[in-house]
Amino acid sequence: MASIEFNPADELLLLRDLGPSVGHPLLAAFSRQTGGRVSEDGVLQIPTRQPELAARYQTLVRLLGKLGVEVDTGGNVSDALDIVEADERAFAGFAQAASEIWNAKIDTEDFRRFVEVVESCCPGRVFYRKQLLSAFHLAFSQNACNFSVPGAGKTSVVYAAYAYLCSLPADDPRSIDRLLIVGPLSSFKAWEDEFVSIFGRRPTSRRISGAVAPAVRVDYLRGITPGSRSTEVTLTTYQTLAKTEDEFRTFLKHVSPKSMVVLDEAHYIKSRDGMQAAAVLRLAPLARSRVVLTGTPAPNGYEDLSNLFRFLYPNRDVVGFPAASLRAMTDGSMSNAIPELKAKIQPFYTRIRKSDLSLPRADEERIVVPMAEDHRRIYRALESRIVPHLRQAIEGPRDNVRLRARLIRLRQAVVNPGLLMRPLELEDAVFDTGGSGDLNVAELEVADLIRGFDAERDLARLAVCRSLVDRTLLEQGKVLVWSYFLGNLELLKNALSGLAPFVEVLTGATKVDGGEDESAPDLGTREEIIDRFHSTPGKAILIANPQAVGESISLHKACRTAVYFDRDFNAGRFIQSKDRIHRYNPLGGGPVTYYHLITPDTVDQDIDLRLKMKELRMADLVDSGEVPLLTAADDDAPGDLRAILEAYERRKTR
Amino acid sequence: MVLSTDVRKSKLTELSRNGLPQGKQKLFYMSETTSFDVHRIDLDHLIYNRHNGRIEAEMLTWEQENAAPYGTYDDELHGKIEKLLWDSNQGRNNATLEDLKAKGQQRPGIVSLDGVIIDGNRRAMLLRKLEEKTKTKQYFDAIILPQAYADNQTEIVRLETQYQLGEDAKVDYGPLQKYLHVRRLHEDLNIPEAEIDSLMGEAKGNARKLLEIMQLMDDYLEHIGCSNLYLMLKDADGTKEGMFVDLYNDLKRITTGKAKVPWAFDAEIDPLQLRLIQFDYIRLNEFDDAKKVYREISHQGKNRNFFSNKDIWQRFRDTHTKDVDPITMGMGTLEAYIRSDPDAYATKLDAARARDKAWRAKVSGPMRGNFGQASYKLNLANQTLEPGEALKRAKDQLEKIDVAGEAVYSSEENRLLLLDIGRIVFSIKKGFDRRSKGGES
Repeated sequence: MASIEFNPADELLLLRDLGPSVGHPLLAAFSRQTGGRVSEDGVLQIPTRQPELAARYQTLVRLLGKLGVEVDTGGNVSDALDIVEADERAFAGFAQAASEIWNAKIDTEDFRRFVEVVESCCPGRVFYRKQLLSAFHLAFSQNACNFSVPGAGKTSVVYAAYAYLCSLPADDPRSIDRLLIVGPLSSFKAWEDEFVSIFGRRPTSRRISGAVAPAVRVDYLRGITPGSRSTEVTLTTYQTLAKTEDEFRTFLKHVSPKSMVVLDEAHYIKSRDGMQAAAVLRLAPLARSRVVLTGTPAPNGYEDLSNLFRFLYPNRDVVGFPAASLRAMTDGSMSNAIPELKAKIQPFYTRIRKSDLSLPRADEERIVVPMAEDHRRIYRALESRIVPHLRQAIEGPRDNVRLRARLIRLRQAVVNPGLLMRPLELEDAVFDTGGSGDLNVAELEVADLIRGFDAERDLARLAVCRSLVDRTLLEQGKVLVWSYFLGNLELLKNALSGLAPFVEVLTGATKVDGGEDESAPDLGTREEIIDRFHSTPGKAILIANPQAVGESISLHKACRTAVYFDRDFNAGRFIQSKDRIHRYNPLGGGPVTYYHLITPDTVDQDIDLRLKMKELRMADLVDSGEVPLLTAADDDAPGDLRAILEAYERRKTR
Repeated sequence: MVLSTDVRKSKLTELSRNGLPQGKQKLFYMSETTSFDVHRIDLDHLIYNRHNGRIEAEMLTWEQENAAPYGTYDDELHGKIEKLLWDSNQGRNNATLEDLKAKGQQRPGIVSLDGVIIDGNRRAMLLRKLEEKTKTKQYFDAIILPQAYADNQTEIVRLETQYQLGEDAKVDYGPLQKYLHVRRLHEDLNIPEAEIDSLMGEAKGNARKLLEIMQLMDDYLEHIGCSNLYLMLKDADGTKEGMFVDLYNDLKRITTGKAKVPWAFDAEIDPLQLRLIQFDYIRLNEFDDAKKVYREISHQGKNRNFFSNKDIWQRFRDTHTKDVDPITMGMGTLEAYIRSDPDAYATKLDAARARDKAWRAKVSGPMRGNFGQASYKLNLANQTLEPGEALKRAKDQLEKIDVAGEAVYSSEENRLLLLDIGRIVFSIKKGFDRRSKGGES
């Protein structure tokens, strides 16, 4: 029987008593590849640095297994190897057990104890069973993904598991005492608020983002600031984490060595070679417990899963497939491998589906909005200038900037011709036509009509919206209005201001507390607006745009009705915006209503049909019990163009 | 009789200072283009370049075999190189010889100040032949560089590279040469990869690729126990280079995750085993068109290869490990092979070739059998037959078996196979029965 030991002084793995196998071609090749050699007394010596030890040891054991060589690791094994070996044995059993938890094959006694601890630590919350199972799974495994749909209460699950792991004796290897949350700025508030409402106390917490002066950040993370060692919750962004990686390394090593590190909206690290992803992956081994949260783990395909699981288990290849194979599974050319992939990752994630939440009913009401005569002429003029050219874009190579510019103008023409006079850059922060792609409105024969158009006076849509909002305020007190155009947000604020004492706008320009953008207007921070929207006792109107508020914000406890003043073709964003008021509510809650304002025979209607179709397709994906794969279903630009063109041609022949 | 370095150097120094130039020739040397005199040089004042690309593999093998001290250049080596240069391409050499006879030397060569021929080794060799044949004194027209070879090796090698491998080089060197040469530039002379690419007139990254393929070939030689015997990379019909290039590409695609392999292989061990098994098939080299056939192991696209098919690969791999590796280990080292009968072979290379032949004789059966099985399974996997066609083929095959003879009954394995076949047949028949009952009721 061969023996294996690690010599930490020389950083050598030593394999003795290999017998004739010492000359086996496979072992020889492995030794050559790793710079190893056989000493005169027949000991195979493989240079191995401490950080590589676990992986190298695992490989060697597998390799010797193939050669039928039994390895004796007992007895005089060095400490380092002993740990690796124990870890190895434990992991196989662990994966099996973790997988069984989610299938509810649990040790009822353990689970009962877990529930007891969670209930006593979390007086402010009654968890539903799937949440408890998910939290138990996380507490049991310490490293896990939660791929639940938006609104399923992933934050609560993390806090429940955190509460349990905190309650363990300090010398328990699983025991943790601090949380480091990495997520978008907009998620910070939810973490803080949920903490208060679940634990019934305010945590000592600290936001470390771009807004915090570098010197202050450094002092905090290096444990120099008094109190930084006792702060229970530290919140940071992916960007700040990547920029301040060295300090976070110090933080996790010396200041907060028993941290649970949570990646919220973890799809931010999907990119294989992104800087933020790289930083997160490098820091991963320093966390005692690791949590990945996202409702869309694979927005572009299975290849997005790699980083999530590399974070979870930095020393293991959980996914087990190279990037090209994962891509091939996404594009359908290797679908026969998908079951194997799913089986590999299945033990390490839980997922609560929308259908598990018993959410209240959601109704969609479509309100027909007419156009006045001048408005109709403006729209038809733009339509005939833009739509016939779409055929080229469908069939030939696409000039994306130009095409997007034209489509935005077409949508503006129907929802508010007043917007046609505004430069496009004002409408979409990320949009830059480079001066070439936009339509020259001044050259159109309807230019005078456009100039003379006064939305407050001439836009029927605004009047319809106003009365809808008014009615809802009377019945329910609060309402949410969505628009994709910044120009419309201003318009709506003016037009609705007489209906309620609270009318506020949330946009990308609204400052987030601790935000990186110091130049934001002083309208009050986004979080403060949301707080006041919740706390205002009477009527309140919140106007928002889905580009900026789509993610990480919960409004369901305040409001049950949303009016979509206008929409675009992006189904992912649309669904996310809908989820803001349609989420799990521990206190129950009534049915939810969405109003869509639609002008028949215009691009409005095309958008409505396309979104309905895409939403159905995505709902199937999102609500399947397996890893939801959001790909192509969302951004089907040629399909959208075809829909506009075909509807246009149908109208013309009619 | 080869003259000593000092004598050659003083002769050429004298010639370049006081000799009557034959003409001028421009040369890009030491980072600038300069016009050099062309001199008519006595062939006896010149020696061949042992690093001539055409014969580099042979030279390295010879050095390894004879443990020849580097830097010694004597009559034996001189004769050896002359023969190697002649043998490297006799047809072409004969043609050039006729040409030289008719027109004389057309293009001047390049020599170092101590008489090492940098460019024109083959022409100088042919001029010597001509001298012997015609008994008329021949001269070699060449530029004499201002430095001796050893004094400015790196610059001279840069020049050599331009002439032997650069854009305008006449491509009649063996396929191994570029690998050996790049390795020499990079490892012995520390010339950076980017500069090697530019010297060779190749795109960025080419040198890296050549170095990695060279490493693969070195690994192969080590695997077959013949380190540095570079001639073991040559076959009767050329070299094995193409197979290494394919294997390199396969491994690169697999290890960098660019290959769409539809199963979770062991990223550490499977590629290593693939490499060793491919080495063995390269070594076996027994298929009619080995260079194409062996591509079935990992090279063919669209998953039409063993490695991409989990079951096929695992069986293929494990059978190889079980049947072939013990034989390979049992062959012992080349040194032991030679020691067992020290006088049997004239050279180490001969012994290595004999040992390879002996190895082949032992593994040929198992390796061909294993390959055949995998190839057959791969075909089946890629072939989707209509059920009727599959049944017909199965019936045809079964009918070929001589049920009266003893052969089929002699193996337990056959009995187990038969049970499997019986089970499949029975379950199909049951399906038919159920359907016909359903139809009646």
